[in-house]
This record gives sequence, C-alpha cells and structure tokens, in this order.
Amino acid sequence: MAEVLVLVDHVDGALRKTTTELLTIARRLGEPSAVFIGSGFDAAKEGLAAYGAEKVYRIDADLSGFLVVPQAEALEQGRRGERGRRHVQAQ
Amino acid sequence: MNIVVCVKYVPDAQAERTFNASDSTTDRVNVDGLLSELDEYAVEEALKIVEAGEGEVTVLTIGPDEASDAIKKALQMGADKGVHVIDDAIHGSDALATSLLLAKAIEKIGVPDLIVTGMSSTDGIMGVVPTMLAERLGLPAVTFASELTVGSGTVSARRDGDVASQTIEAALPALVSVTDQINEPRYPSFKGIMAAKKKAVETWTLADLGVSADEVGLDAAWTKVTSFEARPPRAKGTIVKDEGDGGAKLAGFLAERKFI
Repeated sequence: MAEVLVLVDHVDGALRKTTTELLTIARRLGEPSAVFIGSGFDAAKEGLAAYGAEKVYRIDADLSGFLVVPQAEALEQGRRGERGRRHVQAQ
Repeated sequence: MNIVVCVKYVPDAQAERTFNASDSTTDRVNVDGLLSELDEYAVEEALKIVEAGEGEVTVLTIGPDEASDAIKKALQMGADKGVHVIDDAIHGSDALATSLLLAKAIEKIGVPDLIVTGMSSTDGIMGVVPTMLAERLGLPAVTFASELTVGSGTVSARRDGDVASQTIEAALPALVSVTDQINEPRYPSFKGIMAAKKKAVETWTLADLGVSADEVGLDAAWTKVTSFEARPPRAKGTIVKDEGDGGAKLAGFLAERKFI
C-alpha cells in the first residue's frame, strides 16, 4: 500500500478539521503518515492516531510565523530525507 | 495606495455548466459567465481601501474574449482600469501557469502596494493561485483574510479557523486573499455603469508578457482531467410520517446509510 503523507495543520497541537478530513481520505488511499511541524505535538498525538495516522514524522522547526511556503518546503525536504526527521510511532 | 485585484470569469453556477468534450476543459465560451462571486469581495475591499485614502485600483484577468465581462463588472463597481490577458495558447492552463501569467502581468503593470484576490475561484475552487502568485513575486502572502487593516507600510489581517483565529501582519507590498466574510460587495450604480464605459482596458498577449506558449496551456499543465460525468439529479427525499414509530424509522434510515 502506498504511504500517503498528510501535513498536519494545527495551532499548538489543536488539530484543524482539515487535518482529520485529510487523514480520512488518506486512509482510503493507502497508509496515512502524518507530518507534524512545530510545537504542541503531545496535544495532537492522540487525535492523529484516532483518525488513522499509522506513523508520524516530526520536523522540529519553528515555522509558526509563516503560513504556507516554508511548510511546503519543509515537507518536500522531509519527503526527500534531506531534513532530519524523527519517526514516532502513533499510539 | 495602488492596488491590483486579480479576478476570474467563471461559468454562472445558476446556469447550465459543461466541459468541452474534446479536451475536458471547462467550457467558458458557450455558457453564461460572470465575475466570480468570491472576487467581488476582493474588488470591494480594494475599493474601500482606496476610497479611504488615495490611489488606483487596477483589475486584472486572464481568459477568453468573454472574460472582459468580469473586468467590466469590476469597473462598474468602481475600479479605475483593467488589464485583460488573452491568448489562445493559454487555454487549459493550470494553477501554476495561471500564477506565472498573473505574475508577469503584474510586473508589467508595476508591482503595486497591495494585490488583492478572492479566496478561490468558484469554478476551480483550489485556492492556491494567490500563494503561488505571491511566491513568484517574492511578496508576503496573507491568505483567507476575513478582516483587513492597512497601516503605514503594513497590512494586518484576521484569519478565522475552526480551532483558532490568527491576526497576522505583513510589510507592504503584499498579497492578500479575502474570504466572503470580509465585506458586503456593492452593486454597480447607474453612475458607475456609465462611468465604466470610458475606463481604459488594455489587452495583452503572451508575447506582451514575454511568456512562451509552451510554458502555459493544456500541454504544460501538471494535472489532466481524464474524464467527467454529469452529476446525477438529486434523489427525492423520504418523508417519514410519525405514527408512534417515527424514532425507530429515523434510526433505521440513518443505520441503513451507515451514519449510526
């Protein structure tokens, strides 16, 4: 099954509805892996697992001051393995 | 403050809409079209900013001949002038190519203090062009603004989400996309309609923008519509008459459709 990356849209770990919706779509397409950037991961962990994330990649970068482009770049670098990514098993 | 508003001519959602059978693109010629409703909010916001101070609102669109209607409507609302990018080679362009053309056109107009767009078009509904455009121009992208304040050299906006509202600020020049919560777009007045007839609209081709035909259009698109089918007509609803067993019938209805 294909691994499907879902960028987690959140505010300090509070998941936006779009994230849970995307995880649901990803679950239909393959194996969802959530990509979490920034702080608040502990608050997000359970929700990500509950909505079907089988893996979570964490990118430790504070991009909270940016809306879109740096997140897209971090995601792309993470995908290519250019940026250190920490693999956390969702519970 | 000079403002460029990017607008799109879209098929009227109330009328018959269709795709071209030959290449699966949206039919923009043989259908009733209009200025995308979500872009009216962008035009209104730009007019309010200029009316509160000074400057000019230029409205920019890309599209076939008919797209000049979208410019006309914005001019009738009060925008000062229009730019229409039109070229057969643009047909079928995706969001990336659209953002390229908008960026080139804005560079030719002269990068203004502020670029305002709607949150998405009402036909494509992708909502990505504003950010792509800002990135191409090297400008801050302030997207999905539901409230906007322009200060001296800065713009501040509120973004409403389901778990938080953010207030963000960016230095000018900047690009802002606005939601349908930001204002109540005006209707063109009779005076506005008459005045619009005298306003200048320039038409530019790919050559005017220095863009080659192989950078845009259907062949350059990164995605392709492989098929389309008409949406089935909406099925008639079921009326449950309560004869003491209404609750059970409702529960059965929901269970049958796997809602519970």
